[in-house]
Amino acid sequence: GTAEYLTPVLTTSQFLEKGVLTPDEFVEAGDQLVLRCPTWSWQAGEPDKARPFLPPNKQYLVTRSVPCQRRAASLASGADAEMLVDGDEGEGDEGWSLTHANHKVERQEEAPDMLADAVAHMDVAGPSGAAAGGGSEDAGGADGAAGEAELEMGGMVEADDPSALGGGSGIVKTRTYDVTITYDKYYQSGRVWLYGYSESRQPLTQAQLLEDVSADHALKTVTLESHPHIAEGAGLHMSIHPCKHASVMHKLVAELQSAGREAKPPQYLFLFLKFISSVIPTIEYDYTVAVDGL
Amino acid sequence: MADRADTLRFLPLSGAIDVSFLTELGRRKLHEFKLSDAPVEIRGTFAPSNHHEVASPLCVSADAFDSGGAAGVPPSLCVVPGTLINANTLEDFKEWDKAELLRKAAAAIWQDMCSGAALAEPHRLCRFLLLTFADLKTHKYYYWFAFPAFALDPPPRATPPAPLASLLDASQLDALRRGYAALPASAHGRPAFFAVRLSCGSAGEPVQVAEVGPLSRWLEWRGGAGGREQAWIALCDPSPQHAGWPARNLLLAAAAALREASPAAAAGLPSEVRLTLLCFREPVGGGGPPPAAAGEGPREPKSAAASTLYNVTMDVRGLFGGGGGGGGGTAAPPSAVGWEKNSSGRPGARLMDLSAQMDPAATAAAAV
Repeated sequence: GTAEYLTPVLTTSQFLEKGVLTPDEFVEAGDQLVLRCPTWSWQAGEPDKARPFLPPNKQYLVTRSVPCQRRAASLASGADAEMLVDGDEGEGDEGWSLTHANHKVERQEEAPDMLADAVAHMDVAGPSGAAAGGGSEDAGGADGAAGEAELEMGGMVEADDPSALGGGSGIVKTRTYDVTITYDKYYQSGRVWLYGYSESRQPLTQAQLLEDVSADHALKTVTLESHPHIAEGAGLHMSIHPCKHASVMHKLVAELQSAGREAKPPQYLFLFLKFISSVIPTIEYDYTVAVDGL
Repeated sequence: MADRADTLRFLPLSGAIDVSFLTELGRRKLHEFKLSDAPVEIRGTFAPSNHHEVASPLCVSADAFDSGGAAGVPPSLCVVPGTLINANTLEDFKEWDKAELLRKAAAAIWQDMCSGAALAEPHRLCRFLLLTFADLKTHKYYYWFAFPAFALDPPPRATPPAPLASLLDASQLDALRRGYAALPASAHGRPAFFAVRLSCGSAGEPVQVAEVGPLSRWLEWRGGAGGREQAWIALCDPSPQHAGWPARNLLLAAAAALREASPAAAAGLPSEVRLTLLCFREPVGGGGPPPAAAGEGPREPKSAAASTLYNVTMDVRGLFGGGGGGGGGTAAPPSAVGWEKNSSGRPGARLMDLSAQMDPAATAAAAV
């Protein structure tokens, strides 16, 4: 927006003092992330949306098809896993609640069976019933199936194939997310964007997206906007609003330092992704390097 | 060893289109393809599975149209060449001769298997077809993936999979991982197929990983050291538990190569071929040292998928051109399979409906 346009590019490092990042530091931190966690990669994005203060081929970071097996609300929220990270400007109530900071998803043993049951049920129901049969998943669970029923091949296209696994293979279909990180010039921080797909590869609706955001953040810090580097045709992306990112990062840096550890800008994204995982606890993106002392 | 060998069943690949591909497809349809529905070469990518119950899809994104092999693809991904056919109308899309399309794509793979090109350039083994129709007025996108493979009769059999960790100790596992990581990246990104040479030592001694190399080495390794060595063919497996779909063409290519390489060619060849297949699902970490600052330790590992080994038996009688085959003529390919099943498990196309995303009124409301 205009505010971003008018904000000068941050040129001197204030990572330790304020938890903010210069574009150069963002690139350096991104290089580390790509090096350490190769599921992430740099993207150039739409050339006419490129920001001049970032290298043309390093405009934002992406990791695709990240599984999301469970809804955020289904996470057992134990008080022991919770940790309040205050903003450092005396706004304790507005601080980030760093729940489930270790990004650990406990498996629910019955979940795969429930899904298998649902699939079996849909098969019995036949083509017309398939659309209605998705009762196990709420609202949009059987999305797309109605349109797909009429696209099924009537006759036999292929030979019998005893070598192909069909249903009941124990493989779980999950929601998936494309997760991107851009540099926000106004807030001088990273910014996370999410685009989600249902189990049957339909784009998730706003209501469905919010199911994967922890309740503490769902209505406060999440917005739907056009992605700054992706063509409008893709529709809106869910973004975690960066207004508090610097203060949280500053807090995390201070905690690292008080534990006698060093904090440097190349570590930014590892810390950042760890903290973001408290907002989207069930989206299992990789930030392999754990950062202790938190 | 032959006891308990059952039909080996493979987990089909699943195709995942992302919206960035669809917007790029729409743009090219308007400005470039126009009314042409000629095939266009594209690329997809898959990652080896790293969740024990979630399979990795074959992803097709906006960069699928970038030529030049694996340029810009992260090193954690295997690149798969594909062919896009964008139909002009929904009617065309529905009426397109899918069987013929698949037969042609499979015939090219078969040719590469029989000529030996497939072992030298394994990316020829894993290909995909993508048939699309973009309804740009209603923002509805129809698509159907196919991953060509062959239905063999009788189908390959295998003993139940053995965890790799039951054969190799930790140091050997590590040697295998490092050997894989050191393989030179080809123009097709992370090698999806490769070969492992093992020395067995004398009876009772543990198996040692001697070398990890490109698939083209497998044949020479297989007969090595008077039976004191063995060789595995290996797949970077997108399937977390069962053998992944790309293993089908890998096995058949290996069988074809054996047939071709045997000096006895026609005459005394056994009708059965035995192969060891490694479904490789090991994490391949990033390179380089950790970030300079202190404070990191290994993260608690995910419940990762485990690599497995299969002893596969294939009946190749009559497959490769009967008795007199030799280097010359190739037999007709077995029947091709591979059109993807829809979300209800039946063969059928898929539909991605972006109308809600694209409707200006709806997006304005959502943005508030």
